[in-house]
Amino acid sequence: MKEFNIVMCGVGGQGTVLASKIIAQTAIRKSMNTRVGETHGMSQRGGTVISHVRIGSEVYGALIPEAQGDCMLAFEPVESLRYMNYIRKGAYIVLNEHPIVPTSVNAGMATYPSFEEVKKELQRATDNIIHTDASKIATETGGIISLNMVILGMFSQIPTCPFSAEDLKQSIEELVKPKFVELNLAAFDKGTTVLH
Amino acid sequence: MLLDNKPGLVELLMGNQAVVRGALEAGVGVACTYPGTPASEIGDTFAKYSIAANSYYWEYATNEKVAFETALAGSWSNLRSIVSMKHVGINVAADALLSMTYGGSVAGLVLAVGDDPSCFSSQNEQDSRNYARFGMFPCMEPSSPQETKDMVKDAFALSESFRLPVMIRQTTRSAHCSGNVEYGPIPEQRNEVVFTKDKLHKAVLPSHAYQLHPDLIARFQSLRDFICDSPWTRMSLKGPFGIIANGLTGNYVKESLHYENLEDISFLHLGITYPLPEKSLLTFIQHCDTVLVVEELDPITEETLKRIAFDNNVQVKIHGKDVLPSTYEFNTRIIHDAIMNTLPKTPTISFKGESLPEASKMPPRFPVLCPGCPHRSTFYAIRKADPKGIYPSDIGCYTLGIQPPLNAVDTCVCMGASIGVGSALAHFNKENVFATIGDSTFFHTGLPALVNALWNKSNVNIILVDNSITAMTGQQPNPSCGLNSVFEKIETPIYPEKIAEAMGVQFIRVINPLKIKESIEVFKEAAAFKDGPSFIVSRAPCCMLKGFQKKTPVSIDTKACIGCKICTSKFSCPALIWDETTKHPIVDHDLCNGCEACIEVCPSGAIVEGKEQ
Repeated sequence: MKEFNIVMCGVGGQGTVLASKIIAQTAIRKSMNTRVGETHGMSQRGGTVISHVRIGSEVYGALIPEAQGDCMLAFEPVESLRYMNYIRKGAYIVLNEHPIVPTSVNAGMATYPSFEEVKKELQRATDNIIHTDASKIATETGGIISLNMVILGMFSQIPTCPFSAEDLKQSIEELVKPKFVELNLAAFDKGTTVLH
Repeated sequence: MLLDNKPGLVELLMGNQAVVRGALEAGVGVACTYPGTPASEIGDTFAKYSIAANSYYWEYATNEKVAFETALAGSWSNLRSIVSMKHVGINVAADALLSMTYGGSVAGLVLAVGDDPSCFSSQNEQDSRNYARFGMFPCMEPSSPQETKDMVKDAFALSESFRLPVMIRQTTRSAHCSGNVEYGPIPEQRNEVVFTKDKLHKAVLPSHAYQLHPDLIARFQSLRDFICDSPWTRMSLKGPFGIIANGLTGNYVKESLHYENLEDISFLHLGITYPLPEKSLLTFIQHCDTVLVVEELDPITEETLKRIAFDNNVQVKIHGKDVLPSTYEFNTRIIHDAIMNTLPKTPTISFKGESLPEASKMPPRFPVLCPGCPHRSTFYAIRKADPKGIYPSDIGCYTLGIQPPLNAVDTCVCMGASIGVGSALAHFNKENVFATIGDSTFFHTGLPALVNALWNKSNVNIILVDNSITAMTGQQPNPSCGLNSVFEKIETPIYPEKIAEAMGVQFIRVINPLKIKESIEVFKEAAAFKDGPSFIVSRAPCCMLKGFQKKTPVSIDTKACIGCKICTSKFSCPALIWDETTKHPIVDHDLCNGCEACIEVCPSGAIVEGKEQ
């Protein structure tokens, strides 16, 4: 595999950083090259965040060039729109339906689109959209903190995913604190069932 | 893990972690920092492994100048030393940095800096290579975490060869990029600690500096020659079109050439970006007829290249800032388009993705103060106490108080400026001035300004928003939070209010910002006090703090709610969400941490303590 580019986006604090690390760790174990470009600092405070995860034999910079994303893992609906220019036509999108309403909406300065509107916009780029209320699944399993695991579980089931669920689960065991491994794996497993 | 002494092991490291690994492989003896994005994780990684490694002295210093001086003392004591900071931190450290080069360092001295093109988390886009030019010391720029690790290791040796500090310049993109890193060995032995008395080189008196300046110039000249043969100067002479790129931006060049299958392009990839390898540059322009210089921010390579072409009478067309911007970070699309335009050649690939939805479908999501953040309550109370005041502020999470609806930050320049600017504003203007500054920022550069305000009798109201940690950069300890540099509890925190008291400030109060009504009264009282500065410590812990105990989320008494929206549209805690159908706020139980500050904000008593479920 020359390159596989994963656009991961959401809101600061949703756990995108750990999710990207788990994918990169899996790639390294499979002797692939990796680059992960993350957002840190001020934007982490509830702002919009994007992680660029690039794996394969030929990866260069930390940024996925526009239109070169093979897959998008969107932790929040509106955030998927903000970065949809990064994916290729027909790319797979794993999408959490659960919105985090920005303060701009609360303060009456903007409105939040309906999920159907979000989906319609994304369909300009691709029909391969897998969506569910992943936040709800997380809350019912390991707590909202395990949202990233539900998303990774969903990711493991897309046809183009370069890794098996077992590959990713091994990295979770390696990277998550021992006392949280069980809960995280449970959340991951719930994510894998979304497609079925 | 990072300390594993297993050469050949491949691990996923962030650029900033790779800096630490490189230093460990170089046998580092002293490490220090003042945290600043995008360089913070360098210090945090040293802090994390300091006790387990037991091989280097480590500290979080109160500011970058002190941190640099700590590393300098390490170098003078024959210990390989590294200091890390963000780009604007060098402005603070510059006083020490630009003079010590005359006498020089002893053991390897490395300055790891994080530049921030695109201003992701900084007040400017200054290009740190200018400091390398200013101070006449080398600057190295890695293109991957692996290179970062290897370069840091080499930097210590380079520093020792020329007795100069060596700058490792990462940008946000390289500092926060993770990738594969293959480990080398970590030496078992450290240098012996020796401080050799040598007044000429360690005391830069005017007469010594006069004598040493020619020596600095001479060392710099030999450095220039040395760099041409460095493995970090990577030249491939092919066709007549050539590209010169620095560290990270070289990736965008390689990626563009790869996507376009362009093989006949000459390429000079610079790892040491100051001073420039002038002989190599001359060879390159003699070979090429057209050269594109790819460097983010300032045209330092481009201008040098033009001088070399002029001095040597080389006929070559040099492109740089005529086709590439001097602002913001680059990416593959920008570089690809510049290459294709200057070649010129029709592109075979387009980096134009699907168009974005119209703005109305994407409500803006600015970074905000966290749910339950005590800063929100402080700002809300300040605005309530005096809505017509002037609000100078400072650098930290609390700068976010600038956003609507809080609107409680009017100025922000640099660390410590809230008090410096604020005390002077109070001299000149009739409005009350409320200067907000964080705990870490106060110790960084707020202290001298407080002395100045007191001495010159300004009526500024200084509000120290003390959340007991350096929060914005990732929860580093500071002198007042009761932790040392390795997060152990200390018996004697240095309390700002005690400092103010010892100085002789007449109006000092310590408040709990979550008690908003009391806070408003104290701010009003402070504004009425006109006998010098008032000093109010607004103290409540950061809710991101390790071990912070969430309390039961608040509830809404919908019968009492009058639908005034003050809680959502004026106080704007993200945990309270306005529901247009019921015309009442909803409490997001995942976000609310039960700080209960909003209870005092509601005019109708509709927000009430939550009950355990």
